[in-house]
Amino acid sequence: MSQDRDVVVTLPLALDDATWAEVEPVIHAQGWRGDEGVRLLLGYGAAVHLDPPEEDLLRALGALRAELATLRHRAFLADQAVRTLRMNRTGLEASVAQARRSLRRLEREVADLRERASKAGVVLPEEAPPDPQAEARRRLRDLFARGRTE
Amino acid sequence: MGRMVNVEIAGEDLVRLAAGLSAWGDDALEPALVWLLWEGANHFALDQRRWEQLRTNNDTVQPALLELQRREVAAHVFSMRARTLRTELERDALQAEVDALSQEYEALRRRLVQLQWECRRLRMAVGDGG
Repeated sequence: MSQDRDVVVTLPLALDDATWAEVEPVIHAQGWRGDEGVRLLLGYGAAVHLDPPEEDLLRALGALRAELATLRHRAFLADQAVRTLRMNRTGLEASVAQARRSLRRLEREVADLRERASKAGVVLPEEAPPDPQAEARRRLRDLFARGRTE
Repeated sequence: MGRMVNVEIAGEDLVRLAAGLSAWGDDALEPALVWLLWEGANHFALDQRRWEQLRTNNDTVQPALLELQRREVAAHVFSMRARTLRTELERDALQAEVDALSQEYEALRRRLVQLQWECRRLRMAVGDGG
């Protein structure tokens, strides 16, 4: 039995021939997916044998329909979020891969330049590395300055 | 020959099933669930036929018809609860992955900016304009 934070549990069930012969035609006739069909029929069995008898069936049915509507809405929202997050993940994976490649290239270039500076006896003054935001502003300024025609 | 099936259900439903099937004994949950599945399939097939007979009557709020509807909606709630929770777990896991990737990308970008600055400084120092 595997568990995900105890929220959803995966139950392996060994079905004998007699049980499968009872279950399979229903799932097939209803056009359900196999795992979903098994779950629906298990839920049906629970509704028949385990749910307490309802005095007010109309009220009970209303409450169940409301719960089902809420669950469907939650599933819809979660499905949408999953689709968006999958796209975001794909984009971010590509960006990270590209940034890693750029980083490796720059690291080689900096190492090479350091060696040349050292051979030429150039001593670089101590200077604090740039603030990333200030650097972004500087790059924007450079970009606009290059665009000027005057 | 039989077959092995994996069925995902909500943890809260498993607790309810285990309590309801406790008469089978503490170590007999799996056979009890198989029995419940058999019963579910059997009753579902019978109820489908009963539904066809009952719906010819115009009284749509007759108790027998309401009970069949209750069973069907209860089964869908049972199934949907697991599906919803599974999808929400997948969403949460993906969100965590995306957050981690975003953080990694930000760290790489900061390092890139630092190296670009270092590179410019070194080029000027060695007189390399390119």
